[in-house]
Amino acid sequence: MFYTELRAAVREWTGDAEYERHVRHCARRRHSPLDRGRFFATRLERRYGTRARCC
Amino acid sequence: MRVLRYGVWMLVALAGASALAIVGLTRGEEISVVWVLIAAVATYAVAYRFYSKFIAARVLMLDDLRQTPAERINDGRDFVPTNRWVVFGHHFAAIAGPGPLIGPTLCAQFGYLPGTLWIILGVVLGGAVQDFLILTGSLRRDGKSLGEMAREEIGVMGGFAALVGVLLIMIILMAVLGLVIVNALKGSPWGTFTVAATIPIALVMGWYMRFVRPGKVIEATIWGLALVLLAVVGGRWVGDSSFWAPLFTFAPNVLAVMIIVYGFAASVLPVWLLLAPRDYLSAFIKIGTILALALGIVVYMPPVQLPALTRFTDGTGPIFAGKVFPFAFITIACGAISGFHALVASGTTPKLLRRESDARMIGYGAMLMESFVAVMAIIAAAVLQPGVYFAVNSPAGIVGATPERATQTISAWGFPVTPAEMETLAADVGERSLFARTGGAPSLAVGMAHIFANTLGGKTVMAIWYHFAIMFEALFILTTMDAGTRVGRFMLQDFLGHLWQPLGRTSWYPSVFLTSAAMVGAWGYFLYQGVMDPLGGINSLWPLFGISNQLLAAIALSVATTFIVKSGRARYAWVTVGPLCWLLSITLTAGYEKIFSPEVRIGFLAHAAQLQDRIAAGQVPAAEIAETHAVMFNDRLDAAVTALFMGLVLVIVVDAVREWYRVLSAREVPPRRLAATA
Repeated sequence: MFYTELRAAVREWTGDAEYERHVRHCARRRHSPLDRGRFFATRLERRYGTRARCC
Repeated sequence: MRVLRYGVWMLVALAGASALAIVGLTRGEEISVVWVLIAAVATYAVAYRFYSKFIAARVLMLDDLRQTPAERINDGRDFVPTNRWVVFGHHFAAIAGPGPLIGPTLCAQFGYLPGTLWIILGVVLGGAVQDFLILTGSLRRDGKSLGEMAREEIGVMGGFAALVGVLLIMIILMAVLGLVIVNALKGSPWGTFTVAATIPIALVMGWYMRFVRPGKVIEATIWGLALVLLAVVGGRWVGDSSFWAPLFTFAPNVLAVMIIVYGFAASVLPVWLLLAPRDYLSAFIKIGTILALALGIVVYMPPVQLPALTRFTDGTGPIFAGKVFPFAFITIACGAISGFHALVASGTTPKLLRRESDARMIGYGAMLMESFVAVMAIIAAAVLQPGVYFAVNSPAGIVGATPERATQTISAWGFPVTPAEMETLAADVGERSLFARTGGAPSLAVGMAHIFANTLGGKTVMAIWYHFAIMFEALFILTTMDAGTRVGRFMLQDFLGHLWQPLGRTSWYPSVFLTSAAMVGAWGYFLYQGVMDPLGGINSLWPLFGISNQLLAAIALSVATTFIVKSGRARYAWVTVGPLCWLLSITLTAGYEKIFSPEVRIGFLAHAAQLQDRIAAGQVPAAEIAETHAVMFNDRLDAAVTALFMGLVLVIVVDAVREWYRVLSAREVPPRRLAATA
């Protein structure tokens, strides 16, 4: 139980779980999802285009 | 049950107060670091339990029934309701840069006491409050940025000043971080090889995560980490090799140029290729190393060797000039209070919160955690023999260029050290020399290696621990520089896009190259200036960075006070007005001294005037006149930048006070303000 939760948290934190969330989101909205590689590149461009990083 | 609970908290408070008294009042005797740790942890616990709860309940009135933007918008991309521990991890990784490690290390020149007290008290009353309020403010405004909130809450002028201020601070930040890396790697083939190796490792990881196993971050990071650790161990062989060592040994100005070229490349390359994989490596190493350092300190429990206060509280310090007030308080920004955090707290984080009440743990709690990192950094400096600490951190221009001269000067200050001791220490950590390795990173690495080696492995592995620490510092400094240059580039593109639309397109390569070159050129100029500075560069650049960062915090606290006043709870405005007044007093005093002090090591203008007099008196050789003119120009430029920061902040604070007065006296909003905020 603890291991499953920890694994889920680590996957969430690292972004490993983001693609699955994207697929679920697209299914709800009836959109076709991006392929995994393209989603990954687009996601990173968005994240690092806005994310401020402290000193 | 309630009595028992209050009894426990009374004990925690008593332990914290006793530890603070021991840390603050002991003179001339060795104390254990355990007292510093108890003082910090107990103060954080009491502040989190009572003060942050008071702010959450009375000042902000957090309400879980109010929908967060993540819940309301939930677009599956930027706005995603996320587990609070995951958001805590993201937020902490974004706010914890090299600042809380470097600032306390430099500030230790005043002794361990000023820095320790400022870190512990500054965070609970200032830094964590700022982060918590800005995060909540942004949360209630659909994740708006600090600049947008300043414009809407205070006025157009405030918003513009915040934007310019942020851009300038980023330029100074990149320069000073670059300088720290240059000073850590100059003449160090082992360190340079290790840090250089992280670039191809990151590139291969990026290619793997993009094309081989798309999005598989964890598995790529695991083998990436293994390769980085291999590079740390293999670096010893490079450093000892008569063929490879010269290839990885560079002069400071060459390293500066290499960092500038690297910064440009990182800004124009796709994120997935270099920046993101480096960030993954950096995040894991950062968290792992910080945990290991905490464990090492608890297991080893070294005694504090640095005195509580040194003679340099009078302003004659070799690392940077200036009295303990105000310079201790601008030298340590991250760890106590940092304006840069307001950018993070009003960026990605508010778009992920699932409940309003999570803002307390993430805004206030993550900042306490960062403060604890700063406490560990000051401990790492304080456990070093003071003579060693000053020999590593003092520039040759102050203590002398030869080992004999430097050790004589430092010993004469009352901190005995010999050339033989320094030579043995350099050999133990696998370096040729540790003299004049200014910037804080090398002495922090020596302190960390000392703690790690005494916990695990002993003296035989001290060199590996030292280079691991250097790699750890350089890795996330470079990540901060990559990300900062990129964000700065986007800000420039956003601004230039108003002048000519194509320049605003982030995917149009001429604009990408132009704005990246402008951003890198700006921080590269200050970096090169710092590298060529005979006083070590840190003396002028770190205070400039500290002043600008704390002034950004003053902007954030002005915005936060405006939230409180406008929400009808002005009676609680002291929560932010108190730290705001303190910040204004330290930053405006420090800024004034940096510009106008007659002491040449402090005042930029006095230094320029002294050089001018030397040229007029014919004391400068003809070959050095051009270089001296460049130093004079840089002094005046630094003075102008400091004045600009001070002016921007005064504009915002005056504008904010006018807004508070208008709200409190229930005056009508001027029509132009209504139009601007519509």
